[in-house]
Amino acid sequence: MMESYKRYTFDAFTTPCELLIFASSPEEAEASFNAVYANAKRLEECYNFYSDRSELSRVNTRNGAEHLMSDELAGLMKLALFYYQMTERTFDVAAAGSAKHVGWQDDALTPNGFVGLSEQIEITGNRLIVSDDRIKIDLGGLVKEYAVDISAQMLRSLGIRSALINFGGDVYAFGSYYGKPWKVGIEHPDNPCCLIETVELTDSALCTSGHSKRKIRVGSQERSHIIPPDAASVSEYRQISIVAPTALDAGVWSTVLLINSSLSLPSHVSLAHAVLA
Amino acid sequence: MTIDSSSWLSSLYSSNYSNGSVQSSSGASGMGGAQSSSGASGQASSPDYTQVLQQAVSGLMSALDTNNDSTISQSELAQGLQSLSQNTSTSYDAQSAFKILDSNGNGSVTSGELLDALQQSRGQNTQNSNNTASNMQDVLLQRILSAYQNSADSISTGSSTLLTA
Repeated sequence: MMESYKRYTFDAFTTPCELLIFASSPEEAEASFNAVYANAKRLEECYNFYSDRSELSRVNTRNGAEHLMSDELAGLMKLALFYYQMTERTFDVAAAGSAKHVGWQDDALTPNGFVGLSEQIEITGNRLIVSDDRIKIDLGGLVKEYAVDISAQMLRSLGIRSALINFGGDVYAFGSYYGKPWKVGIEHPDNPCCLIETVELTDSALCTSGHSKRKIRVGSQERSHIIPPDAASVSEYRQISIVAPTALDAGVWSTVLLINSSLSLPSHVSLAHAVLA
Repeated sequence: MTIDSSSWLSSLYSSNYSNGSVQSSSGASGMGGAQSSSGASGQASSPDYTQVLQQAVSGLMSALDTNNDSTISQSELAQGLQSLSQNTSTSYDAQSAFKILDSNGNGSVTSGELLDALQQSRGQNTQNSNNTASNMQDVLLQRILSAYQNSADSISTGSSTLLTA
C-alpha cells in the first residue's frame, strides 16, 4: 500500500517545529505525531531553565551540594559532561546556566570567568554533586537535539519507516522521501527565504547554529543564545551547519564551532556549510 | 484483532476529528525543492490540548449523537464503533466501551463524561511516552558512544565511562 505523507507543525523549545511522516494511514500518522508532540512538550517542561516547575529548576535551587536526579536527567547530565570533555571544555552547561543566573561579569564566579565550571560537577549514579551553589545548569544546548533523536526512535518504534523531524533547525531524517534521500535546505542567516545549501539526509542529522536567530538577556545585555564560557572568545563563523549520525552530535558540534572555530571535528561528524563572520 | 479501551477511544477521536488547530498538509513544503530547512523559520501553530480535547468532544458528539439529545446511547456508540471497525479492520467491544464512558452508570454518555475519558486516555498515552523515552535514552547514549569509539578519534576512558556508568 502506498504510504501517504503528512506534515505537522507546532511550537516547542521556543521555536517552530515540524514533523513530516510517511504513514500507512491517517490514524497512524496522527498517533505518531501525538506521541512525538507529547514527548517534546514533556521535555520542554522538564528541562526548562526558566520554569519554576521544571526538574532542572529543582536542580538549580538545590538545598546543599547534592541533588538526586531522575534517570533521564542523570543521562542528560552524563551526556553534557561527555561533550564537555570531547569539545575541550567548550560545551559547558554550567557556564551557560551560571552566566544566565549571575549575569555576565568575567570574574563573577572564578578568576577565569565561566571557563571550566563543569569541572565542579560530579555525578555518581543519579546523584549530582555541585559544591558551589552559584553554579547553575542550563541544558538548552542539548534538550532540543535530544528531543529530535528520541522522536526519531519513537517514530521507528511506532512502525514509521520514513520521517523528517525539524525542531528549529535541528533536523533528523530517516527512511526516504518517495524513494530518494530527504533534502534539507540551509537558510542564509540574513535572508531566511534564501537557501545557501541543500543537504541530502538518510538516517542522519543536520543541525544549524547561528548567532543571528535567537537572543537571550544575560544581566542587562542582550546576547546570542549561544553562551561561550570565555566571554572574550571569538569565532570566525556566524553560522555553522553540521551533519552527524545524531542530532545531539550535530547540534553540539555546530554550537561549539561558533564559540571556538579552532576545534577539530570528530571523523564521524562533517561540516555541511559555514558562514564566515 | 481486538484492541484495548484507550486505543479505541484514540481511534474514534482520530477518525472523527479533523479540526485544523494542528496544521497538516500533504506534499512537499515547497522550499526550493527542499523538503525542510535548517534554521528556525516559518509559521507554526501550537495546539492547546485542553482546547483540542474540547473540540474533539464536540466533534465526537456531533458524529455519534444521531438523535441530537446531547447524550450518546449505547446503540449510538455501537453504530459509531461499527463504522470505525469497517474503516480499520479492527473489532471493538461496544458494551465494554460504553461501560467505560458511562462513568455514572445512568445509561447515557454526556460530553463531560467523554471529556473525562479523553483526558484519561491522553494521560495514559503521555505516561507511556515517558516510559518509552526513558528506555530509549540508553539506546541513544550507546549510539553516540559507539560513533566515537568507531571513529578514528581518540576517546579517553574517562569520557566513555561517563556514558556507560
